[in-house]
Amino acid sequence: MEEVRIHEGKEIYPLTAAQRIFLYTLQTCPHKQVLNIGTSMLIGNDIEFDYLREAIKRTYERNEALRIQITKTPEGATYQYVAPVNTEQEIEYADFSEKTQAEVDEILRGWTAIPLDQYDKPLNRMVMLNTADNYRGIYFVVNHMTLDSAGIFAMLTDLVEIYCSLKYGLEYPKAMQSYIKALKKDLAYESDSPQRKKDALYWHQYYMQSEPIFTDVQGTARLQEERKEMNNPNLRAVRMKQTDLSADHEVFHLEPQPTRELLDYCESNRVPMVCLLIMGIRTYLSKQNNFEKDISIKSTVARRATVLEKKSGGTRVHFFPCRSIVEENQTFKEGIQVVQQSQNEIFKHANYDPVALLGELQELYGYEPGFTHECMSLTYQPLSFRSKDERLKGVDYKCKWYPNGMAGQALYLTVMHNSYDQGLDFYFEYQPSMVSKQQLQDMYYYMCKIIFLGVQNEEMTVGEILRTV
Amino acid sequence: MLDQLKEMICEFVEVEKESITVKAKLIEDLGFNSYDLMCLVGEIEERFDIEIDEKVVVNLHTVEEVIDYLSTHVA
Repeated sequence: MEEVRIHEGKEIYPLTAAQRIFLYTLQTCPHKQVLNIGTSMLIGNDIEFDYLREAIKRTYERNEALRIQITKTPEGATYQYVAPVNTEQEIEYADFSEKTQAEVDEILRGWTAIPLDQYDKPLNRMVMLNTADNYRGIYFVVNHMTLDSAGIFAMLTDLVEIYCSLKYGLEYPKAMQSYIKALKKDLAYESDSPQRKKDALYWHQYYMQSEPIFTDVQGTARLQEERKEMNNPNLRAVRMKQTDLSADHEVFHLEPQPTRELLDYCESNRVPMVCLLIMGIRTYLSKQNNFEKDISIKSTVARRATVLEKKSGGTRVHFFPCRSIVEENQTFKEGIQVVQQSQNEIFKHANYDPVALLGELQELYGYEPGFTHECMSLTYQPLSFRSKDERLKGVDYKCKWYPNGMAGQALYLTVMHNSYDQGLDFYFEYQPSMVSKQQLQDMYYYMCKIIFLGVQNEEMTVGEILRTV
Repeated sequence: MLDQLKEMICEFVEVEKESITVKAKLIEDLGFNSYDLMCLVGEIEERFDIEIDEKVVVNLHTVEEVIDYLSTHVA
C-alpha cells in the first residue's frame, strides 16, 4: 500500500476506486454540480434550533467523512485528507416559514445545482431550515465523492440521536467509526491483495465465458443503429452518448398495501427485494427486445457489511453488471433464483474496481471506453430514517432528495421506502435526450404488472408472463 | 469454532457476543442482509481457508447451520 504522504502539513491518502469513478465524472463533465446530492429532513415537531445547532457541530466532530477534502499534489494528482474540526464553524439558517412547499423545493433544487468548491474546501453544506406548518430540520448538499446515500443516512441518524440526547436527556449515541480506518482497509485491498487477485479472476472469467448483449427500454433500435454505424451486424454493445447530460426525474409511488404484499413475499420466500425488482426490470427488457433471454443491468452495491463500513461514512458504492439468462419455460420463481445467484456472486466480488471492468471489455472484445451492455442502473435503498426516540415515534417527518440537473447516465432507477407512508418510491433520474417520460411510465406500469403477476402466480413461466402483460 | 464465529458475527452486526445463540437466525434475529451474509461467508472462507459455493449460502439460515457446515468442511 502506498505510504501515507504528508503534503502541506496534512496526512493525505489516495482516492479509492469508488471515489475515482466520481473524480473522472467531475473532470470530464463541464457541469461541476453533477456530483451533488441534495437532501432535506424536516420534522413536524417542536425542534429547537439551539439544540439542533449544537447537534450539527458535534456531528461534524464525530463524522470524519464530513470533513473530507481533496487536494492536488505538485505532480497534479488528486488526494484526500480529513480536515481538522472547525471550532469556529457557523451553522447557516434559513427561514422559509412564509413560503409554500413548492417554493421551498424550488429553492433547494437551486441550491443543489450550485457546484461545491473543489480543492481544499469543504465538500458539503448544511443549513437549518424553518418551513411552514412548524416543519423544521436541515437541508444538506454533499459531493458524492465524499458521501453516498448510506453514508448520509448514517450521518443523519447520528445527528438526530445527538439532538435527542441534548434535548431529552437520552443516552448519548455511541461513537461513529473512523473513516480513515475504513479507507486504509480499502487501500490495502487495492494494493494487489490476494482477495483482489481472486476478484480480478472472477470478473475476467465473467466476460470470457460469453459476451452479454445490450437491451434497451426502447427496444432493439439503438443496438441496430449502432451496428449500422459501426458496420458490424454482430455488435453486442453500444456507445454511451454524452452530448447532453441534462437530467430530469420522475417519481412513481407504490402504495403501502401492495408494497406490503411484496415485502411479505420476499420474507416468506427468503428473497431479497432487490432480486424481485431486478426480475421485474429484466422481464420488461426481455419483452421490449423480442423476448431476449440474456439481460444485463447495472446493479449498485453499497458495500457496507461490517460495523466499520456501516458507520464510517464516505462513499463506497460500486456498480456492476448483473446478468441473468432466464429461459421462457422457467418459472418466475426460478427466474428470481437465477437473479439471486447472479447478485450473490457480485456481492462476493464487489470490492473490485468497477473501472477495471472496462479494461476487460477492451482486452476481450476490443471495446474503447464508453461502450456498455447495460441501458440502466438500479439501486434499492432499504433505508428509511426512523428515530429510536419514543417521543418522536409517530411524529411526521419528511425526507426528500433533490436532483442537481445533470446525469452521467441515460437512466438510473432508485427504489426506496417512502418515509411518510412506508410505500415504495420509484425514483427515475434520466436524460430526456435519451429516454422519454412516456417510456418511463410504460416501464413502471409493466414492471409492476410483471412483478405482481409473478408474485401472485410464482409457478407461471416467464414466457407466459411475457405473453400476458 | 462457535466462539470464532460469534466474534466474526460481531464485526458485522452490533450485538453482544454473549447474546448470540446457536439457534439464532442470521437474517431475522441478527439483522444480516444478503450482502452482509456474503461478506461473512467471505470472512469465513479466508479465516478457515475453504471455498463456499454461493448456492450453499442460501441454505445457511442459522448460526447452527453455519457451524454444522464448517464442522464437515474444515480440516
